Amino acid sequence: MLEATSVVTPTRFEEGLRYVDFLAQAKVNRDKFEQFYKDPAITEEDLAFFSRAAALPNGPAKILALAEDWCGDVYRELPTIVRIAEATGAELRVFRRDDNPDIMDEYLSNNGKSRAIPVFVFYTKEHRYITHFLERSVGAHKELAAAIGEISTNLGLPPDTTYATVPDAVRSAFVQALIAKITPRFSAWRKEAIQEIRALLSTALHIPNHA
Amino acid sequence: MRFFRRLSIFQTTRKVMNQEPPQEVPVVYTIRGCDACMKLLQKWDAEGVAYDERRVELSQSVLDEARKYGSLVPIVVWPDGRVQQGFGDSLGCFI
Repeated sequence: MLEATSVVTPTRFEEGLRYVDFLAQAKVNRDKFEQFYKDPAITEEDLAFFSRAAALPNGPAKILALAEDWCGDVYRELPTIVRIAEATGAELRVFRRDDNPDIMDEYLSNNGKSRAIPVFVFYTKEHRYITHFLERSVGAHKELAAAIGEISTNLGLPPDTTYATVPDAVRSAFVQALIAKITPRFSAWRKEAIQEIRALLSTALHIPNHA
Repeated sequence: MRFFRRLSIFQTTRKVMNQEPPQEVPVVYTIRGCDACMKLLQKWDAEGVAYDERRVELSQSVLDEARKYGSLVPIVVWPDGRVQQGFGDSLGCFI
């Protein structure tokens, strides 16, 4: 999102919640946020990369997060971003998605149909857009699609079945199988999200992903 | 929605009496920011289906209650005990 056309001006950015205030206002899942903060899935080597990136004159100094406390993907991934902000000195501001539809509209996914969160947007100190991450890694989305294909086959459904075309008669079985299939992958997806954010920053800043 | 409000009053009474009468309408656990949840409620409202909506984003205790039945809202618990998760053409929201 080009800063010239974005609704997120430097002033608007400052209006976002500090993480501690977001957490204080959370009605649900505070325990989950704290649990994943203590187990952030990020390595020292990852943090070293983010520190190298942040040390650049055009490196990330501000991070915007679109979030809601009820969202599983948010409480799994936002605490990792908090760790990155703490390690690099970046300024993190959290915006509740449902209170900020104009910001969310700049980062829609699924061909503009989905308001998926979390969204993490990285800016320079001068508030120049660098890059952003949406919801889950590309690998996680591929796994999800593969799981849908595999479950469809197991249930005798056509190979081109999508979630939208699952017959009502087997929908419950389909959903239960899908949840059972992907839930064990959530931990790995957290790590993949970190790797994808690294790759995004590496490309945007023209720096090596590894030391 | 009028019916839901009536149910809410009834639930308060029920809580005071500390009794759990048989549920005669489906209980649906929702998040108002979840597109799949809203599509389900819009469908039921259009069809005149009575339901007891419990919003998980407003209360940790309701969220914990929902997690006993599943991990993907909307979660519908039918009077006969059947449980359905998700709705429509999107997956729903993991809680």
